[in-house]
Amino acid sequence: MINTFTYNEIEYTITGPIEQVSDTQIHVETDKGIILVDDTMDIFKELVSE
Amino acid sequence: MQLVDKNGNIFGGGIEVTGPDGKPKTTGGGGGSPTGPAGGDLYGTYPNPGVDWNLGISTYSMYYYPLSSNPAGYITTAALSGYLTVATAASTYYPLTNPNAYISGITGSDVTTALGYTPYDAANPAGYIDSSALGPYLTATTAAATYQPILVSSTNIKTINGASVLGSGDLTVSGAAAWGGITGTLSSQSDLNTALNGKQDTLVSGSSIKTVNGNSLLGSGNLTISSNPITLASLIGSNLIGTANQISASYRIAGGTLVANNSIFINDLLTKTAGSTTSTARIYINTTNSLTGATLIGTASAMTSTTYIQRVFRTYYFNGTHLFVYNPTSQLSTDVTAGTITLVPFNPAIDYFLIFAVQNSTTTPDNLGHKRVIIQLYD
Repeated sequence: MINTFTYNEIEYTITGPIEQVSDTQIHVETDKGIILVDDTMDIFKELVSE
Repeated sequence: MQLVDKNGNIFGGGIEVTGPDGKPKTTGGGGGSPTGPAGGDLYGTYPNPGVDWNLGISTYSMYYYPLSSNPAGYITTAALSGYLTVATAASTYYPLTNPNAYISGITGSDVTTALGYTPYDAANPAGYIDSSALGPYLTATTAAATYQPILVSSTNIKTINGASVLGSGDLTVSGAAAWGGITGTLSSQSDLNTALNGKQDTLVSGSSIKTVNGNSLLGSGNLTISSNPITLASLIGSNLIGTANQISASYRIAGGTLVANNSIFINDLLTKTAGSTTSTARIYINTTNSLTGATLIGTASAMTSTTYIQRVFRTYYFNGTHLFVYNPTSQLSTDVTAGTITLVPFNPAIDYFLIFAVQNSTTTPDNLGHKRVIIQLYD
């Protein structure tokens, strides 16, 4: 279970559900709001495979 | 008698012989010859020997000086009183050969030390100037020939109607100025032509200068403009097809725009011209103009069937560190209702992009777009 990820030197802590937006995009609820994660981000595949 | 001078000249003649009686005797002379036996006493009458004593005396005076005069200026011992004898000089002065070996080899440093200061020489340690230092300076004559003398009103500059033209400010002169005509081709007056080309044309409100809310900017005084709200942008977004979540419009909020207690109000008109499946509009913020890593700050009502238009309102309050965001996943046209809050970090010193995205559930023909987006800032 992934609890955190970092993007643009900002660390995000996952606090809620992950919503599928499209084939390449998801919404991830974090301590800093709902972040759009797409397949260009390293964390994308790890989050989708869970 | 004969006399011989220093040069060997012989004067006089004959031989004078003096007898025992003291009388002169002679063997001959200018007179007659004595008679009688040789060796005996002369007797009889003797002729005058004819010695001219006066002649001898007169000749002596030509070669000898009398003791009573010094016609040639011969010195006497009195003339030596101003001179030193050799013995006196030797006991008084050192000979030039320096027999006592007085000091020699005195260096410049020795002299400086002895003097207590450094004497002037070519090195000029004290930095004394010479005439070359006067190069940057003007003589009074040159200055007078080069510069305008200080103006003294009515002395070397005229007054105008009795008023001095010296000093600051404006001098009002009554009467129309008499302008002369400019002759020749204006464009050939290069300096005047350049000056005229650099001038701003006369401003015409609404033509060469905009109005503000219909008010002219020309003239004096202040134009009061309401600053609340300030419209940051009025955008026309693109209507897009496709199932991906895509950017329809965006706006960069420059760093420093927001300060604490400001709020941003968004008035967003969504339109769709085709399709009957679900289309969704969303609002994000990001530090780049990209959806990658963007933060969701609003979702409009889903537009289904023939729902082709929707007005979306959102207000975001900034407390200095965070935006107060109405539940970003609630699909609502307006936040004019109670809801949960999400705090989204916001650094006012850096740029952020407001991103307006659309997504359709089918590839085509659905084509949702943020048709018109007005972004306002309230202080």
